[in-house]
Amino acid sequence: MNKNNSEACEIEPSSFKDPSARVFYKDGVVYRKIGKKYAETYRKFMNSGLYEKLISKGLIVPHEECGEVLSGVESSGVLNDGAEIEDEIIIKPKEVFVSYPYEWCFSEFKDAALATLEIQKIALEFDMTLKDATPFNIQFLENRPVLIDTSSFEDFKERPWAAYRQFCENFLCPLCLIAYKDLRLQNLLLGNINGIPLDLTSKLLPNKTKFNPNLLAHIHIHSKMQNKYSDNKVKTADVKVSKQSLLNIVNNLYDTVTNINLSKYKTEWDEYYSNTNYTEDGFEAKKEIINGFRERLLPEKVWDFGANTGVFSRIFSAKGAEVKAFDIDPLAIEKNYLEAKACGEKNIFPLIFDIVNPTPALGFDNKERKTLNARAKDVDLVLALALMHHLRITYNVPFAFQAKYFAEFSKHLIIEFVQKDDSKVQNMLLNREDIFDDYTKEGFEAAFGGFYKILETKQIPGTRRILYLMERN
Amino acid sequence: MKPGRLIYIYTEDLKTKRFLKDCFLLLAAIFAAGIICPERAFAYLDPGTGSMILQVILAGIVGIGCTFKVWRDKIVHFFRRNKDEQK
Repeated sequence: MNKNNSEACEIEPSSFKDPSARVFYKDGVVYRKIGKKYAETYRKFMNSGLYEKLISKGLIVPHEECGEVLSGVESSGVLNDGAEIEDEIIIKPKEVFVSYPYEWCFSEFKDAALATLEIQKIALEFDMTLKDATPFNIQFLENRPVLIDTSSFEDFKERPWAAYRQFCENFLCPLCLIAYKDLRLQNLLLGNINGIPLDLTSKLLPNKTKFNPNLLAHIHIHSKMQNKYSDNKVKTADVKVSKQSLLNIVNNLYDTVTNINLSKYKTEWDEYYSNTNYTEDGFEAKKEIINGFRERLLPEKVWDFGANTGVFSRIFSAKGAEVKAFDIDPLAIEKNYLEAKACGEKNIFPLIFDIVNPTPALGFDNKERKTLNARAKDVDLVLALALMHHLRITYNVPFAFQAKYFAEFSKHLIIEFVQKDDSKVQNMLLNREDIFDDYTKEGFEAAFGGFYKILETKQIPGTRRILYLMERN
Repeated sequence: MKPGRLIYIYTEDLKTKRFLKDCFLLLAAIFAAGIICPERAFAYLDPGTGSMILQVILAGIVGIGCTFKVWRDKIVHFFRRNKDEQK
């Protein structure tokens, strides 16, 4: 890679599978270069009306063309990855926060699947088709799923949809496993980033799914067909599928996904706010104190760890801050997302996240899919409310480790210290030895003092909890 | 007359023979062009043989389903029309 030129360019590590285009960054801004061989198809995509229709439906990320601005980039060795692609068109898509399917709650995942199918249906109207159907091509912009791969379209020929299997393994299989077997099976995506295999899904799903003709076809029979023809000895160059037939199959997939729903799941966090240690007054007082901290800082980007259903996240999002709300409980995130959708909230986006076992870097060379830390950009404030006692006592994470971890994300921190005589902490220590000698207000302040300066301290009235506003050293 | 004899009479005429030969060559050329000049393809995914074949099967089933619906609607319409006429 030639790093001698002054324009700092980097190829996006996950952008290598499709030779039609490459995503790269210049001075931290994301661009997509369209290869010369793909240029004609790109022009057809833009001029046929397909792009406009997708924009009007809010299904694709908007972009602007900016070839001249970056003419110097073509000579940069960074973009010459040996693929002999001559630059012709460079587009600048609107930047979106990148999240991954193993971080989405069920409804986010389902909405992403339905968006993919809707995009394919619309593409077929214009005699085009999606080359791929991967959830990594869908991101959320203002809480709506959008396609970020602008070069994902090709001319429609009367052939079967090349992305059908990818759609089934990446969308249908995870959704069915989550809904019909167990929420935790979503984590299979971490070990199978190219989609949960059909045969594994078929094995795991309960037998009742075989009585659903759509799931029988798209998962169980599909799995058998895949095994039967796995040695690829049959040439399928001449098989034909008409546009109407393909449209019927896509419509069928759409109905199939629409009818996958979560049954009534209960987790310990689901009714969290009805079983808490706050009186109503205490709860309101906590909100007021946090609002006071907000007025002091006026943060623009807030990350809320342990956000649950987002009650306190909304103190910030309601005033225009862009909030990411993280929680380990998929149902809390589900509730949060459904509420955001119902109220048309665009600036609070919830994601599933486990602080003690965060999303790892995955894919080739561990660079295709990034950790959350790597995706944190310009975060002004981290919230860690009703969290530190779980980390300290349930997971034995020392206070200093917690402080160091939060300090990596943002300059400011609002953290709730739960005193040892709080009934929740007493409950946690009920049947185990109390090895937490440092678990005192002084111990907490000393540990965090190594990374932060304490700006304000406020006891929540009627509780054994103290709110701290801290600034990183 | 034997079928063989029929075919012989059919192609006896030289003009017809030439015409058929030209048609055959044209079809062969079109077929060859399809192989020699493949259409531009950008698909980088392995679609999976089984998945392709399943789609053809599903297309057929869906096609039968659509045909069934069309015929069902025609039958219903037929009986409704008869009912209206009787009134």
